[in-house]
Amino acid sequence: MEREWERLLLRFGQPVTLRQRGDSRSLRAFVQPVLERGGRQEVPTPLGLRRQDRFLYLGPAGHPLDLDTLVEWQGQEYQVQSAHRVGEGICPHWRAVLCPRDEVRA
Amino acid sequence: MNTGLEQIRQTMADYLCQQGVPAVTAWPAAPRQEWTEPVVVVSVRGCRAGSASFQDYLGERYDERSGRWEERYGKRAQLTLGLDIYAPEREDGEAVQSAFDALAGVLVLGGPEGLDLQEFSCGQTAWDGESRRLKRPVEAVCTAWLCAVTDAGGVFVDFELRGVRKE
Repeated sequence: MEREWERLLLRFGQPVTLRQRGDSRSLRAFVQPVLERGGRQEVPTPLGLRRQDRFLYLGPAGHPLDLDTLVEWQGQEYQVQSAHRVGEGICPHWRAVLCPRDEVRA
Repeated sequence: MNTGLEQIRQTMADYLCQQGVPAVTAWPAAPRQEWTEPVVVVSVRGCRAGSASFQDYLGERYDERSGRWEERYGKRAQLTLGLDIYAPEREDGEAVQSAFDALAGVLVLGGPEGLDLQEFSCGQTAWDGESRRLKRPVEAVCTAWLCAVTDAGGVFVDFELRGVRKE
């Protein structure tokens, strides 16, 4: 099952880059928007317009994510909202919820 | 006609920035930015304007530029400004406290021209899930005069903000 998962990532995964404490790693993972019926994609806040859509990340077991990890996917940076290593013993992988990072002020 | 209050948030934000306290106005129609340091977000929480004299009449004043006497009218306004401090959620509370100390250090000396700062207060720092930031609510109560003069035909021209602070 593990080998099957790695093949799936290799074949259908999308290129992403994980940035973590000065380290940068390129790999393949699945990233998909979490579809919600209720919330709006962008809402006004006192600090400006905020994206509130979320993305589901499924990635290889050997590349852990934490709350300080930045995920770059399709030219946009995402912050990790939550991350867990799941599927131990069957098909271990990292499952995370990502949110778009605000534009960094120069 | 201007009421004299349109630029109040920007005036306060500019004043704080000039004093070395990073500040922006609230609710910009642009994507929000990730600040690496705490920032004060200026909003108007409340405004109460009322008559300060009989039929708002403040008296006459000689205008040297136009060379004529002009009649002045005005209302006294009490404004409650939100000066909330937002900090990155991965900061510790000390950064917010330092930002508040800097803000308080500016506010105890007064406010921008035209605003008489009466009092300010703050709440406690908390994580704000809506903004995903650390937030400390701060507000300041100010008094201002909204003054207008009549032109030669007796018609009001724009109101402007006039402070009650005496240097």
